[in-house]
Amino acid sequence: MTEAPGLTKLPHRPRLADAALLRRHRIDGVDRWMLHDTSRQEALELTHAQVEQCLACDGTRDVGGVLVASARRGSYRRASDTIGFLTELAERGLLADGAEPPNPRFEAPGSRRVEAADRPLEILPDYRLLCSGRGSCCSTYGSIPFSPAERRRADAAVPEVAETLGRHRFLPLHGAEPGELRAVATVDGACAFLADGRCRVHARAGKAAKPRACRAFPAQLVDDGEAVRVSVAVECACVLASLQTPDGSPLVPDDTSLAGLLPPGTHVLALPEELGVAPGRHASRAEVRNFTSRVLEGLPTTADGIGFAWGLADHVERHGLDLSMPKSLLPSPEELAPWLRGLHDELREKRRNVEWRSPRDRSRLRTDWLFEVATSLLEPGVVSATLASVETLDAQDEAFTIRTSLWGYRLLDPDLVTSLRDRAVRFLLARRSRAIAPDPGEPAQDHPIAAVEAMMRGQGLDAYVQRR
Amino acid sequence: MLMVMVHSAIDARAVLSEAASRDGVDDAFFRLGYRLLNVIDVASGRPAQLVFAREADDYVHVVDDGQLGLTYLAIRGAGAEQARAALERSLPCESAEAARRDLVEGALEARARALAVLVLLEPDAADMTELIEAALRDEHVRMRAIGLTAAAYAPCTPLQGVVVAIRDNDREPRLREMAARVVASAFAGVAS
Repeated sequence: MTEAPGLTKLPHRPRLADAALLRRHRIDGVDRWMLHDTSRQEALELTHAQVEQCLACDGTRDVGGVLVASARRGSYRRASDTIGFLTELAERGLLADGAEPPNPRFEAPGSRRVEAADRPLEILPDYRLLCSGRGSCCSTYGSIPFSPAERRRADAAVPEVAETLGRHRFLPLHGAEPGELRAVATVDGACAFLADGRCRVHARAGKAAKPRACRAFPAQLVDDGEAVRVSVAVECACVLASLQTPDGSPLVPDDTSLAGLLPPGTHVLALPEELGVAPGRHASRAEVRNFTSRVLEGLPTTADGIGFAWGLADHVERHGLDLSMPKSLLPSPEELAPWLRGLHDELREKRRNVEWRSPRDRSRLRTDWLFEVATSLLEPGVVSATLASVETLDAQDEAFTIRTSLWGYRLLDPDLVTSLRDRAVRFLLARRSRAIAPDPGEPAQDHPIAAVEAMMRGQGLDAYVQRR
Repeated sequence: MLMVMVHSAIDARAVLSEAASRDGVDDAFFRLGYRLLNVIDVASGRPAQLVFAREADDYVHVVDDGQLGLTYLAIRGAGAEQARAALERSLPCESAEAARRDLVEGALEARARALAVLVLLEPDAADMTELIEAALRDEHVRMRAIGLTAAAYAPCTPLQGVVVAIRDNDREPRLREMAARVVASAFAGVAS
């Protein structure tokens, strides 16, 4: 009778898996504890007691130990409640077995710190970033990582966050791992340290006091075996607005020419030895490097990005990484139809999954906006009309997005052909979004590609590709 | 191996009736202000247990005793009697009076359970040796088996001969093995 039912379905020493992101969202002064299931792109709302139970599942305790640890945290009521909850997590694949060594991860899976200190840096040419300081990126992402030292600095600079939010203002970045990095709570969809559109850590203690991830954003460094390419992710309107001005700062300090000279703690993604070119076809990273360099040589600063991306995908599909210059090729509405239906379905589901968010939450506002845009693209004649007209600003933004994405090897997931076609669809969505007004506070209304890109990666909207 | 509780470590006992559920146990301890302190899995020589605590010296072990076939509360601490009374009000529990009735009037399983209840609730009763001996001499294997377990909980000199007789002569090999273990463990320190 002391053994509660359901134990046999659970791992011996349950550990909240990396696919589970435990997050605290304060909305209109009320805490909502969410478990983001990244494998299903769903959000589960938890009670505070369930959060404590999740945190007790760190892989070091058996189920009895989890019950006792929950009791110590004041979160034990009934064994059957806890075991029922853990069983639901296990059935979702969100419980692993046993502890993993602490992993100070910042990188994507498969990445590593750069080991070759003498690897030359190749910085995206002719580009300087001018951050508006309006904090739009601080209200875009739900996982802003802080190291222990960064947490101490931020707490010292802005003690009112600790006073207001108390315990659990930082939660594990992935699963329940005891790693160094923790994600800060959000308040109405924005970083808890943001107030009136300004980072309070930056304002009170200077830029150097901000977490490394915030200082580095949106630069991205990739080691391709020959060099470390430095590019920029087009997930913030500032990235594209910077094209209009000669001001701004370099992506890495001007005197940095080698990887070994990068600031301590800088993380570099490592490109795998073999990369997907098309479904079922692969190439070495050296071949991909040569190919991207060749394409970048012929890429103008203004281009119809849809035609360019679709044409390049067509070329690679037919000829592999042939170094002859591909022709621009606009897709037909029929070719785009399955992509657009998949995108529409993904956004429709996403809308349901963001209903719990604050009405002021940037992700929720963007989901509603892009759903409306995607819906309009299903109307007869809209795709043809959108393909036929490209504004100068869009052509510049699209060309730059392709440039920095090729430079930073961000067009390889799941493979080059699929990713290029996906980009063409994203450009179509962004172009069409000019016809439908977003929330008045939308920071990317002049550069909607930035909103689309941020939603695709940051909010998992890119899963739509699987729905085709 | 048989589990033998050391009586002196326990200040009071209560035996849960079959109607008690795990949720009911959790609810009762929660209402009475206890906190789950430990969960002990069943192991060789040790029954599964939950340990709840309220004050530093106020512990209750919920023991799932597979040998006796029942779950009982082993209560320790200065306020053990008050705790037992409160727990008996919150949870369906067996009474010694009902057990004594069942031992006389009940069917086989009820009689076996009644003896197990009595050996926990009234281990020092004047007639306990007599009740256990009667079980050890019962025609039913089930009663002799529970009698052996009871003898291990309340070992005393007069029972030793009956247990040895089972070890040496019982027609059930399982009971002979069981009796041998009782003699070797529970009666090791009992004068013959």
